[in-house]
Amino acid sequence: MVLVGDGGVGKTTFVKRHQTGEFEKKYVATLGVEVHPLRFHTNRGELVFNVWDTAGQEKFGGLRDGYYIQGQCAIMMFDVTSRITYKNVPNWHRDLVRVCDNIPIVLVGNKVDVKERKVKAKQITFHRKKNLQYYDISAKSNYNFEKPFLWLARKLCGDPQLVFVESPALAPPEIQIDQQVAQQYQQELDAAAMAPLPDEDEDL
Amino acid sequence: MESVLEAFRVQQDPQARPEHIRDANLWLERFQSTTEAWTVADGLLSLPAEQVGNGSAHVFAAQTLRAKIQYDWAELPPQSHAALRDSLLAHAVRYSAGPQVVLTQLCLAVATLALHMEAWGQAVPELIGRFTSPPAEALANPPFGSLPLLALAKLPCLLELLTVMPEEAENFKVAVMPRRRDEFRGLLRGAGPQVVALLGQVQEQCRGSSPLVQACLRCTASWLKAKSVPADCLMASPLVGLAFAALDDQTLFDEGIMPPVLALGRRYDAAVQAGDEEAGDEEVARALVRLFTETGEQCLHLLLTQQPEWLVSLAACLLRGAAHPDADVAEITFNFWYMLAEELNGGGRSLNDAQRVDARGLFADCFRQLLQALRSLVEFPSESDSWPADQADDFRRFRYAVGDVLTDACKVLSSTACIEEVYGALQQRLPAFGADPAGQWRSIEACVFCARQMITSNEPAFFTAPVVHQLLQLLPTLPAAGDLPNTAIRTVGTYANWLSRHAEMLPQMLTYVTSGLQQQRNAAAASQATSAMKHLCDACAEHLAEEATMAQLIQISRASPLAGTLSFSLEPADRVDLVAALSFVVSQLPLPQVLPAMEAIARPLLQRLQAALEGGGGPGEVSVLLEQLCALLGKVSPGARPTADEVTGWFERQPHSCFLYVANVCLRGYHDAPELLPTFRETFARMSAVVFRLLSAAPTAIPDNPDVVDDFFELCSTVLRLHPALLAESELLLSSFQCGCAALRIQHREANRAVVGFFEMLLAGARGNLSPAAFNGITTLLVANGAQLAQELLLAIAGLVPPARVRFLSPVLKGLVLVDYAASRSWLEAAVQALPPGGHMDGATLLQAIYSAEALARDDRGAGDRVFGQAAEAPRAGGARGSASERGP
Repeated sequence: MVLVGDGGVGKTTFVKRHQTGEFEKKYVATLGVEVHPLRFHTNRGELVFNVWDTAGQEKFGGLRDGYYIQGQCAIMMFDVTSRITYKNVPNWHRDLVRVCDNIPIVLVGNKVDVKERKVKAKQITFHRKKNLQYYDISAKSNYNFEKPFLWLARKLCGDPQLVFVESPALAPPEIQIDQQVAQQYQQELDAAAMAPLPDEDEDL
Repeated sequence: MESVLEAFRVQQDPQARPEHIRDANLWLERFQSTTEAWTVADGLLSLPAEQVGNGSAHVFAAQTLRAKIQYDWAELPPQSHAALRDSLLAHAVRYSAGPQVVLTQLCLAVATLALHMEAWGQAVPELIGRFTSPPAEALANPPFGSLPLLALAKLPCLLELLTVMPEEAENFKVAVMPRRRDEFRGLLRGAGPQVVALLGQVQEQCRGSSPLVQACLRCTASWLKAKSVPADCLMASPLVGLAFAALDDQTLFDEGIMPPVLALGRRYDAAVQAGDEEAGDEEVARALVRLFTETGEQCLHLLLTQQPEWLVSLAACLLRGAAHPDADVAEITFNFWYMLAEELNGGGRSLNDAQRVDARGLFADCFRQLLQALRSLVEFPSESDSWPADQADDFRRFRYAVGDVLTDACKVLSSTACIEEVYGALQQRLPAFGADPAGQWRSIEACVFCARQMITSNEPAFFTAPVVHQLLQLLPTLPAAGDLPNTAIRTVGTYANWLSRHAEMLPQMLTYVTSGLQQQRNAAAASQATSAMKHLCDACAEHLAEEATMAQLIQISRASPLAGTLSFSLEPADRVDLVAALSFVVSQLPLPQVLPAMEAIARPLLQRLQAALEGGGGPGEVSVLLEQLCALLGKVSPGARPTADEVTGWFERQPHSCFLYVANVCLRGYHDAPELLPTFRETFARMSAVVFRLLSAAPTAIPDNPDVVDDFFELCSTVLRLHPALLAESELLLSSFQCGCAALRIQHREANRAVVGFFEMLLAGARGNLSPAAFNGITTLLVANGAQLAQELLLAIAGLVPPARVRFLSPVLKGLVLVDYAASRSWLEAAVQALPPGGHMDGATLLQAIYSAEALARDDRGAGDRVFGQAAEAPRAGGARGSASERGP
C-alpha cells in the first residue's frame, strides 16, 4: 500500500499509531520512504499491508513516483486544518494513477481533532468525482484508524463481508474526540449564526 | 548500470530489510542527481525487459529521465536539447504498445522538456506532424481494419503525448518562470483546433478499438480541462459526446443530456426497492445518486437560468437520494443543496433579484420535503443503544453534516418557517411520546435537534416569533428520556441570543440548565450543560449581573465531586467554559463588585495552581488551570498585574510554553492600560531571557521545543504590534532576531508560521510609522544583520521548508528588499553564492525576477506582490505545486 499526501499532513504519525507507534507532536520529515508492515486479523485470516510511507516534502521526494510501482492500493491523506493540502489532492491522485491505474484508493482527512478545522466536510468532494472512499480520521485520537484499511481489504479481497476479528493494538488515544468535536461544531454553528462573515483563510 | 539495477531490486523487494531498502533508496536518490543518470537511464530503456528484472526498472529509468528534466534541466547544454527530445520520442514510440506506465512517464518527460525548451516553439503541431506524416502512415482512410500496422502502433503514443501536454503546463514542480509558462499555455491554445480535428479523426476511425477510444476521450478531457480548445471548434467536431462539453460551456448545453438523466430516476427507484435483496443494487443506487448530484452541481447555473423546471425534476431525483436510508448515500447530495440554497439566497451568481423570488417559489416545496427527509435522517435508530462507540460517533458527525443542510434550508424557507414546520411535527408526536417516553423519545429528540440547527441572527421575524417562545417553554417540560435532555439543554444554549431579547424567560432557563448540569450522570453529558451555560452567560450577561444570580453562578463554578454537588469530575475544557461563563457576567458587574467576585473565582484557582507547581503536578494540570485563569482574565482586568508577575516566576522555574501564552493574553487584553507597561516590560524581558537560554542550550533545542518557539514569536509579534518599544528599543531585539533566523528552518508548521509572522511584523515596522527610536532600532539592526536574514530566507525557500510554505516567506523577502534595495541585493547575491551545490534552485533567475520592475511595483491591487510571490516560488523545484497565487487569474 502506498501512503501519499503533502508534507506535514501526518502520514508517518498515522502508520505509527499501529502497534508500536507513538504520536509525535514534533514534526520529523520522512526521508524518501519508510516501509511499515501493518498486520490485521480478518475473518479470512491474517492480512499484512506493507505500507510505503512516502515523503510528502519535495526535498526528499526525488524518487517518489518510483515507490508507486508496486502499489496495489493507496491512501491519500490531507490535513483538514490546511486547505492547501486538500487542494493538492488532485495532483497526488494524478501522479498515482499515472503509475498504478485502477487500484482501490481511500482519501482521508487527518487532524479532525483540531478545533480550527479549515476544510469543512461539505467541501470535501474530490472522492465523489473519482469514486474513491473518504474518511475523516484523527491519528492523535485513533479516530477511524481501521476504516481505510477495512475498506481497502474488502476491495482487495473482493469480499464486502470481510471484517477485522480483533482490533489492532493501537497506541492509546491522546485525546477523546467526541466532546472536543462536539464543542467545535457547537461553536461553528453558533459563530455562523452570529456573524455571516466569510471564513478567515490564512492558508491562501 | 548494474549497480542501479541491483539497488532497484533491493528497493522493490518486499522481503528486503528496512535498513537495506533505506540504503538502496539513498543510493538511488544520489544516482538520480548525478550527471551519468542521463545516459544510464537512456541505456536502461534500450535493454529488453527480461534483462532488467520484472521490467519495472524501465519505469524507474523513464521516471529518472523525467525527474532529471524537471530538476536538472540546467545541466544540459542547449545544443543537446533537440537530441534528447528525439531520443525520448524514439523510446516513447518503442513503448507505444506498453507497458503504459513507461509510456506515460516518457511522454511526461517529453512534455516537461517542451515546457522548458523555448527553442521548440511549435511542439504540438510538430508532434502531430511527426506521428501522422505522411498522413497515410498514421491514419489511413477507413475502414479501421486497414490501418497500416505501424501507424496504429504509434497512435497510443501520440495520444498519450497530447494528453499530458496541457497537464504539464500546470505542473508547478517544473521550474520555469511565469512568463514562459504563459507562453507555453498560449502555444497549446493555438494548437487546440488542430488537436480537436485530429481527435475527431481518431474517434471516427477507431470505433472498434476500445482502448484507443478511451485514450482519445482522456485526451479530450485533458484539453477541455485546460480550456485549450475553443468552443466553436469543438461544436463543429464530431468528437465527443456533448456530455463533456456541457460541463464546461454554456453554449454547448444540449437537450440531449437532461432527459436521459431524469429518466434514470426510475432506475434509481427500482434499485432502492431491490436493494434489500441484492447488494449490487445498493451500488447502483449510490452511483445514480452520484450522477444526479454531479449533474446538478455542474449544470446548476445553466439549468437555473435556462430550464428551471428541469432542475425541479432533477431536485426531485436528488430528494430521493437524500431520503436514502444509508447515511453515506444521503450525504452525497448535501453539497448540491448547499449550492442551490446559495443561489436562491443571493449568494450565487446565476439569478437577479426578481428571478430569485420566482425560483424560491419554485423550490420551496422541494426544500420542505427535504426538511422531512433530514428529520428522519437525524433520528437515532432504535438499535442505537447497543452501538459501539465509533458507530455512535459516526452518527453524531453525520448529524452535524445534516445540521449544515438544515441551515441551508433555512436560508431558502426562512428560519421561522422551518421552526414552525419542525415544531408542528413535534406537536404531532407529543401524545405518543407522553404515553411511552422511553420508547418514543427518538422522534422528539430528532425534532429538537433540527430546531437547534435553525437559529439565525439576521432574520428580524425570528426574534419575535411566537413559535420560538412556545418551543423554549416546552423544552423544560419534556420528560427526560434517552438523549433528549442533552439535546434540549444544548438547544437552550444555542438560543441564547434569542433569550437575551426575552430576558423574562432567563431565570427559568438558567434553572433548567443548572439542573441539567447537576443531574447528569457523566462528564460527557455535563459538558453540554456547561457549554449551554457559557452561551447563556455570554449572550445575556447584562441581565444576569445581579448579586443573587452571581452567587448561584459562583456556586456552580465550584461544582465538583468534592463539594458534593456533582457525582463526577468535569472535563478540563468544561471547567474553562464555566469560568468563561462567569467572567462574562463579572465583566458586567458594577466596578466595586468586580474585585470581590474576581477574588472569589480566582482564589481557588490560584491556590490549586500554586499547589500543582510546588507539588510537582503534571504540566497537564498546570495548563488546565492556566487556561481557566486566561478565560477569566480575558474579560476582567484588575487581575492582570499579579498574574503576569506570578506567571513570569513560574516560567523561570518551568519553561513551559503555556506561560508565554498567558503573557500574550494579558498583553493583548490590557495593552492600553499605561499603569501595566512596566509590568509588561519586565515580564517580556525575563521571559525572553529564559527562552534564549533554553533555545541555545543544545543544537537541537529549537526543533525540540516547537511550542516554545511558537508561543515566543507569537508574543514577540504581539509586542511589536502593541508596544514596539519593549522590543525595538531594547537589546532583546538583536537576540530575538538571531533566534528567529535560527528558527526559520523549523519544520513544525505552527512554530514556523509564528517565526515568519514575527519577521513580517519586524520588516513592516522598518517601513511603518513607529517612534523614531523604535524605527532606528529596527533599521540599525537590519543594516547590520540583514545578510544573515537573507541567507536564512533563501535557504528556506531553496528547500529547507516544505514548498507550500514558500508563499508565506515571499512577503518577508519582499519586505527585506523594500527596506534597502541596494544592500538587500548584495546580501541576496551572497546568499545565492552560499547555497549548497546540487540544490534545485536557480538563484540567478530568482534574483533577476524579484528585482524586476513588475515584482517591485507598488500598487493597491497587490499585482506586484503576486508577481514577486511567483518569482520567489518559481525557481524552487517543486515550489508550491498548485499554489493559489500562481493559479490566480
